[in-house]
Amino acid sequence: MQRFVVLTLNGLTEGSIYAAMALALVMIWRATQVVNFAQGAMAMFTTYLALFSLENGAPYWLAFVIALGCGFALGAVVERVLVRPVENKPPLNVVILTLGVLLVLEALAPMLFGGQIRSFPAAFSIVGLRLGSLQVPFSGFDLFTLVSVLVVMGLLLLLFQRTDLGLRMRAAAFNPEVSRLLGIRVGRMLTLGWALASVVGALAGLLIAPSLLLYPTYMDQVLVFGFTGAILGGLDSPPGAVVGGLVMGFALSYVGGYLGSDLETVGALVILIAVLMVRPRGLLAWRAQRVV
Amino acid sequence: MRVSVFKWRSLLTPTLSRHLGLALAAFIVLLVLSSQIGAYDDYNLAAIAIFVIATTGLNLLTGVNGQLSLGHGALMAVGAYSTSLLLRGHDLPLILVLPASLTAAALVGAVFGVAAARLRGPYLAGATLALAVGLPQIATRYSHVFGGEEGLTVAPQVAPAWLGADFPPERWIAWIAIAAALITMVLLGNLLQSSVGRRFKAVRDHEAAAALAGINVARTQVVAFVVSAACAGLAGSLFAYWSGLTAPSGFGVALSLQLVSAIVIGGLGSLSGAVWGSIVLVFVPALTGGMASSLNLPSAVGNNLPLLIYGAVLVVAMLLVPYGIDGGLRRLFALARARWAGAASNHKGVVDWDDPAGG
Amino acid sequence: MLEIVDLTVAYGPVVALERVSFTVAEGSITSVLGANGAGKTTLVRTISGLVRPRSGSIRFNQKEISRLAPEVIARLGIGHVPEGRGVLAEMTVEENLRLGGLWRDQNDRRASLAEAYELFRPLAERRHLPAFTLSGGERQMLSIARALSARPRVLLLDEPSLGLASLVLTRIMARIKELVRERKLTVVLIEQNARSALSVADDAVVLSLGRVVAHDQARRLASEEGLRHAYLGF
Repeated sequence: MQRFVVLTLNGLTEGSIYAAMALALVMIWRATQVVNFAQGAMAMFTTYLALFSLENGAPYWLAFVIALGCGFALGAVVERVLVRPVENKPPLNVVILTLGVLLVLEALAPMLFGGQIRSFPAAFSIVGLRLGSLQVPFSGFDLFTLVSVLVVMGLLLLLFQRTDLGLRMRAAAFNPEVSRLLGIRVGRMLTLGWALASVVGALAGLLIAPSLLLYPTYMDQVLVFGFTGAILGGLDSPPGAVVGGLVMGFALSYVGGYLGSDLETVGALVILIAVLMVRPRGLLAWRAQRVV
Repeated sequence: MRVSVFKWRSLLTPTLSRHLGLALAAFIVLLVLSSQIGAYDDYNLAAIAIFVIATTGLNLLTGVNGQLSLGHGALMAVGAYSTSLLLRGHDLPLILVLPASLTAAALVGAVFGVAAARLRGPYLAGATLALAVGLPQIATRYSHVFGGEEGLTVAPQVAPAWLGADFPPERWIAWIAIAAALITMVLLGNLLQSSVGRRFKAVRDHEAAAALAGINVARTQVVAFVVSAACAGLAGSLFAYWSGLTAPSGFGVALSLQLVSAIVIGGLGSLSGAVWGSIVLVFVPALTGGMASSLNLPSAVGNNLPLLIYGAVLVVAMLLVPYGIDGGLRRLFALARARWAGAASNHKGVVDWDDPAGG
Repeated sequence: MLEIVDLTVAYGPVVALERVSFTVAEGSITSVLGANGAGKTTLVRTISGLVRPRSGSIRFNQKEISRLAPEVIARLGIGHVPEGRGVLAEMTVEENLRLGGLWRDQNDRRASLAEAYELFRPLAERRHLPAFTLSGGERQMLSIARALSARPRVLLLDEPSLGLASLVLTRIMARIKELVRERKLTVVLIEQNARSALSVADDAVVLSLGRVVAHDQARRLASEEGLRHAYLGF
């Protein structure tokens, strides 16, 4: 029982990070119909920038904000400069393009910041919280991780459901032509969508860095689990991304805990494929498949 | 009306003789070339031929049939591990090991193809990516069978005695790989021209229309997956002979992504595209690696320079040659021909490719 | 209000409009008629900026707009109800309507939302449902109501009668005529059904194979038998 609680809490924390990554991918997918394979590498790069700021005397929170800000800028630049020109090219081109961006960033990071594995500080204690005399396997930083992911999701929900800007962004993603007829600057909205998604990705990078340690490819597995989470939930559905990310977190934690850590990935992927066999467009796909 | 999707007869079309002639000529040219170059270049030539087999198969699946696979590296792993396991403690001839490994990969491909036929676009990409991530881990988990992280070793193929005692083994494996690549290309080239190939394309272009025309869409997709997996298995088997070692690290996600990038850079949906892509795949890292080490850079820079350049090549290629090298060359030829004819306005019909000129 | 001079539009080698010229007066309804493929839809898509003309000019209030982006033209006050797929199916009815009033202040928005629900009852009942739950006619209503919430100075209507019950269409056209009279709204109306279009329009332009073959008062065109037989099919 105690083991179960430990694994559940662990799954919740990691799942919230996969959920954030999945949400970033879904936001970009909805805006531009692109799976951004560079999302993880972009988050890796901004986390390196945070570490660089810390080493140059910046306080933790400033470094945190710098990373998120750079994530915003990086997302905007990648969309505007690289993705936009291949918009009307065969759909695989943009996939290869994002893979190219991934490789460039993973090569650039060790060139600029050194290739050795680095530790990254956590904002709060990573020792389990105490409830009375009981120590639970859930640290202050775990709590912070969970809360910050929830806050970001709440803010995004507000943005998309309650503001004009969010309304314009959604319209631009759903139907660019009609949106332009309504006076919406579609290109700008899509750039903004990428930028915001990259902020969410950058947050995931910062939150998981203390436990994974920092090296150029440390976000690769987070990207893979985030992506599988996103398609588990349904790429068109932001709530689906959150659910899918959490399911991945729990699945990885339980499989790793009960069946052995070397089966962790295989187990989670078997779950993914099993779910896709039953629901080929994800758990929360509600939109009827477009025929013709 | 039910139409049988796969007919072996369809491999023996009239174009076969033309393809065979071309392949034979290419084989002779490549053998002569291979004999003139050093062992290291022969080693790279073998690598290109092996990648050509894998990318031709992948191009059939992705370029011709429209199913994106990010997991073909895992199917290569099936071929490589089959070979390594068959050769462990037995001294089986290559001529038996290659088809056996090919069959093993085709069987795995059939199972996966049935699953893949239900999935589309990014969902298929995600599921195949899962295959690429998951399969190598099985090798680590069951290390008593698969040798764990260290992997399994494979003894190099020794050239037959009549070629001389000092015939380099790199050249011999290059010859085998080239022969296998050319046979693969001839078979797939004929398949593409046959009714099976037309069905592959019909399903890619418009699933609903293909279904209305009496094509069994799911079955066509499974067949494409099986043929493609067989190619990956053959390539994997040769890869095991070529590298002498089969280990999980050689078949990571990176390999699968390299294969996909090769067909897009080379040109989707064509045999020559797969060849161009494989050349880029082998030569860009080889050239940049040599360049980086000769520049005397600090190790953090020098070690990562090839990766940086490869990534930049992918990005720039997608921006500048969106239809791949093959598409770019075809357009160039079309332009040259139009200029030659003195009628630049009428170059319609010259490009009988999937409309790279943009419709 | 809207001056079109020598407008030529081509899709590659195919010429869709050739030297089209006509003027639309402020506060009037001009109907554009013609067979399928005559270039009617291309004409309104060019006015709203979705299609770039090869040559010629479009002036709105003396301002050249033929090289502006559609979003800029929309904000100048030209509303376009596209043929068929105008609604954002994934968004709710109310969100669709809100998109119409994006560039107006809060009070105006509330007023036009209320007005839209008043005019189109079925929309009020489904305000919080996604637009893909609407019938074809209701979608058309939503598309028109959304365009009206932007309070355009010029309204381009591409086949508004498609999928609409004639009773609903009559009400919509009555409302549009009201706006034309009260607020000097200018309307360009594309219709397949020439007879009904001529009955509401002040002027009419007849297109055939991308050229203007007639431009006159709607009343007079309706009485020209030869023209009716040749181009309008009644």
